[in-house]
Amino acid sequence: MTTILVADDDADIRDLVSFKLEQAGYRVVAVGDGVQALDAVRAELPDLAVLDLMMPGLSGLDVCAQIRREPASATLPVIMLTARVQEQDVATGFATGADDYVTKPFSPRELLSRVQAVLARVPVAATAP
Amino acid sequence: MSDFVAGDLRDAVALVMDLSLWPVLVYFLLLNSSYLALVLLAAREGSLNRRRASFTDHDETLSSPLTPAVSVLVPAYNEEAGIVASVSALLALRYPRHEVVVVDDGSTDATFARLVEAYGLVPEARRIPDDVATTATVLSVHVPADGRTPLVVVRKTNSGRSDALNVAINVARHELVCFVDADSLLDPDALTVVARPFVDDPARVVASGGVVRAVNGSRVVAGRVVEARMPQGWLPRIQVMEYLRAFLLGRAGWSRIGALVLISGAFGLYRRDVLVEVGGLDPTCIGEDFELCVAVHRAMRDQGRDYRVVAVSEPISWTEVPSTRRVLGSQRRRWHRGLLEVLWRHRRMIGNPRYGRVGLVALPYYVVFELLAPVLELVGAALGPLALVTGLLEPARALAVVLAVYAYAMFVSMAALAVEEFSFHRYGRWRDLAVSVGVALVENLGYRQLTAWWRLQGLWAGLRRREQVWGVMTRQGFGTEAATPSPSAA
Amino acid sequence: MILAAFGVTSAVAALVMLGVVARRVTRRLREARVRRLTAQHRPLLLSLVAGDPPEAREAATAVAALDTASWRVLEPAVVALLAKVRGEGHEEVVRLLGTRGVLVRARRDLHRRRASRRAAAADLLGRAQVPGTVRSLVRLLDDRDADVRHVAARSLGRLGSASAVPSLLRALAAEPPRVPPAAVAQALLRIGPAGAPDLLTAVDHPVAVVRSTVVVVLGRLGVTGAGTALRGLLAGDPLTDVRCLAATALGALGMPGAVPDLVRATRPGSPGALRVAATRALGDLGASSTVAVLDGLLHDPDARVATEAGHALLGLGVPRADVLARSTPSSVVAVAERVPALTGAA
Repeated sequence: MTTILVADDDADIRDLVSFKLEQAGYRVVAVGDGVQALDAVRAELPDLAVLDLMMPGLSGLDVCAQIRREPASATLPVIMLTARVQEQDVATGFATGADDYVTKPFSPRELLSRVQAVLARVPVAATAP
Repeated sequence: MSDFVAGDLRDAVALVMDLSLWPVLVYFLLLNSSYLALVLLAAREGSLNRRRASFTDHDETLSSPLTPAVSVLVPAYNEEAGIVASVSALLALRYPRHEVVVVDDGSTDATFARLVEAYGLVPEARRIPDDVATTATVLSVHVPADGRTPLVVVRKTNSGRSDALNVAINVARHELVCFVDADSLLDPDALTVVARPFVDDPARVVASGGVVRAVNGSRVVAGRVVEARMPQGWLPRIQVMEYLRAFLLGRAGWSRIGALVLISGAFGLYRRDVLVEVGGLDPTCIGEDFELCVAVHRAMRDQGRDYRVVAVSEPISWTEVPSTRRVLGSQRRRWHRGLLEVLWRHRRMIGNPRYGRVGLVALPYYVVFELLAPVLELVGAALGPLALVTGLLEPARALAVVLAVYAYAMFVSMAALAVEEFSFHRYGRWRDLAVSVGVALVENLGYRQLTAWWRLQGLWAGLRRREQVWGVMTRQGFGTEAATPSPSAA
Repeated sequence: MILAAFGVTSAVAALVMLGVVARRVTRRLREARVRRLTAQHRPLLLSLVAGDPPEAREAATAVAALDTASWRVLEPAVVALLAKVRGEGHEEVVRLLGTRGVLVRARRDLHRRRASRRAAAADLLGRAQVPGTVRSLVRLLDDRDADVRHVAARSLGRLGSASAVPSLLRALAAEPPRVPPAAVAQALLRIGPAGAPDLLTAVDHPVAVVRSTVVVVLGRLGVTGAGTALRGLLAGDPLTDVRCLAATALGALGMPGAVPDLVRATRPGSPGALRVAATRALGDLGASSTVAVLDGLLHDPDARVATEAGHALLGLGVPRADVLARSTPSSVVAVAERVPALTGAA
């Protein structure tokens, strides 16, 4: 089963994203901050991570950079959730290795299709649990 | 003993009693009434804020293109244990554009090595402007190799906290600068909240101060306070209440009447150009944070500018308070000596109508109710027993006087507690409420007199020092404050 | 007498304490109730906002049928969702708020005596993007309460109607501004390029804060038609602040045509702040033709200009080592090279 990590400090967003993804048949691991996100990446080996850009303690960008540094998760697809619609942040997000981004307020349906699109781009061997 | 007391001494005491009993009583009445007035002002502010909460949009500050960028300045002297945790928490603060400037003040431990390791620092060739005069020699400037993390680390020869911050002001690239201590813990929204006055009134706000609370006993996870709790031990417990009254309530009250003269060095935000105008922090002054704020007021008033210095009332910065008498004593002595120095330096402002409410209300208040408080406090504490021993006051009456003073002070503490409960209710456990009530009951017995004694010592040290070697101050190393163990953030 | 004072004070202190305890008890009870009810109806709200259409409709019907007491507890949670989603989920929430009479009440609340009620109503109408409220919100830009004016501007931005642009700029032109410039800027950004014509006519507004706000917004929106106007402000605005913002905006627009103007602004005759902003803008603009100019600025006597030039060159893709080598007197480089050794020793 495909596992998706959702990290956002806003419980509403976390629940909405989890709900939408679970409905679509994914297994979801939801956490509330960057540190827990990294722990979950190591422990759960998810197939994709949805990260909030601004989380207390460790931002989404930091988490993403760390994910890329660790060999076990270097190719993990990452979608960034961001409240800011500033080009600069989006550019930084891509430079750090995010595969896609979704701006908040977000459309659950659009998020789902982006998740599906990003997963489809990943070679099959990498997604096998 | 009774022979000794019987003669002239008795008459002398009687005279002192006659002259001072009522003034001392009136003094305490006024002192506590002023606290009460500030508490009531804060209560009003609190209820306004509560109503505002439903339609305040912090995201607006986060996403507006006009939100000014902030340089967060962190002086660090031998902070190897906590430096990486604090820097990463500062970098992760919710804010649209901010950089973190760490000034390694000639640390002799691995402070710098830890930062190099964590952020892959590489040297940067940067000439540092000399907008503010500094004494230290800058050795080198470093930035993370990834080219995106907004961090600058400056290494310099040791010259103390004030000079380190002045170097940091020069290095800062953004229009606002924020002072934080390396061992403070900030709430994730701290910058957004404290910068909000600048966003809402950009033409006038020149400085804003955050609320500092005592972190002792609270639950800290990953460099963040997740639950406020009362600490063990009465010394830190009483300080929790002290900070509550002083920061949360006192400053909100002063801010409301436009006469806030003290912004804590542990969390304050200033316009950089204004700091450059006043020449930054004064390294020869012990109460440098207080001095800076007063200097800003002075400069603004001298130029006749329409300006504001404001306090925000949300709890946002957490600091470890001393848990031993020794450290607490040296802290209070230093604070009080700083108070004296600053008031002396700016004595021209005191009572001067040219400086508005700052000159006519705030500074005179600090002289009468802060600077002189320990003297009166101890006179009061000494008079009572003396009067009893000499038999000038019958025990019942003496007890009544003491009780009345005590009850009023307790009432003010309760009122402060009520404002906290109605506006913020950060301390959620019933136990903590019980402890807070306990503090209100016992803080006037012993603790208050003890701090008065320390403050008196500070006052005395300040007075002696100025007579002898005015201006040749031995530099207070940045390490003094850090004698407290750093919060268990790891 | 003194004893009586003691008695009264103690009694009042005890009363205050009782008040605190009572307050805490009632708050605890209310919070527990809110928690229970929101937890109970949470799945319903999630389906409402994130469910597939038939499921969402079903959830909407269920919430619409809730008893008044439960709804009152749930309402803040529902309203909070407005800020978090867009698209179908947002529409569902708005429809539900309409059914429950919340929107009608908000329109009525726009005229309440208490300022916080007016502000909350204006906020809700903006979040719900209820069409047809632009006129009432524009009127609130002249409200006597600062919070209400602020919220009205924000909500006008959320409604996204370009017809509100002149009123927003007028609110800014008052002395002092009737709405914080940051709030107006944010609203103008939300309204987007549709407001550009009105913005362009305001670039030479007599009030400085109007000009500066408009300049920032034009740069952020990427209104390419603003190039000429911005170049005019860069060259000739009486205020250095506005000239700096114009430089930044030109950098953000990324039009190579602005390079000569920006280069002129970096020349030593310009004010220091403008030279810094123009140097930064040259980097943002990203034209490789500027490398030579930036190289020259690395040796500028003004340290701030030199630093910005270095950052700009790095941004243009010049390797760090090259910038380091080109930029500094040899002594600084020597210090820089010594540092790894220091690190090793520590």
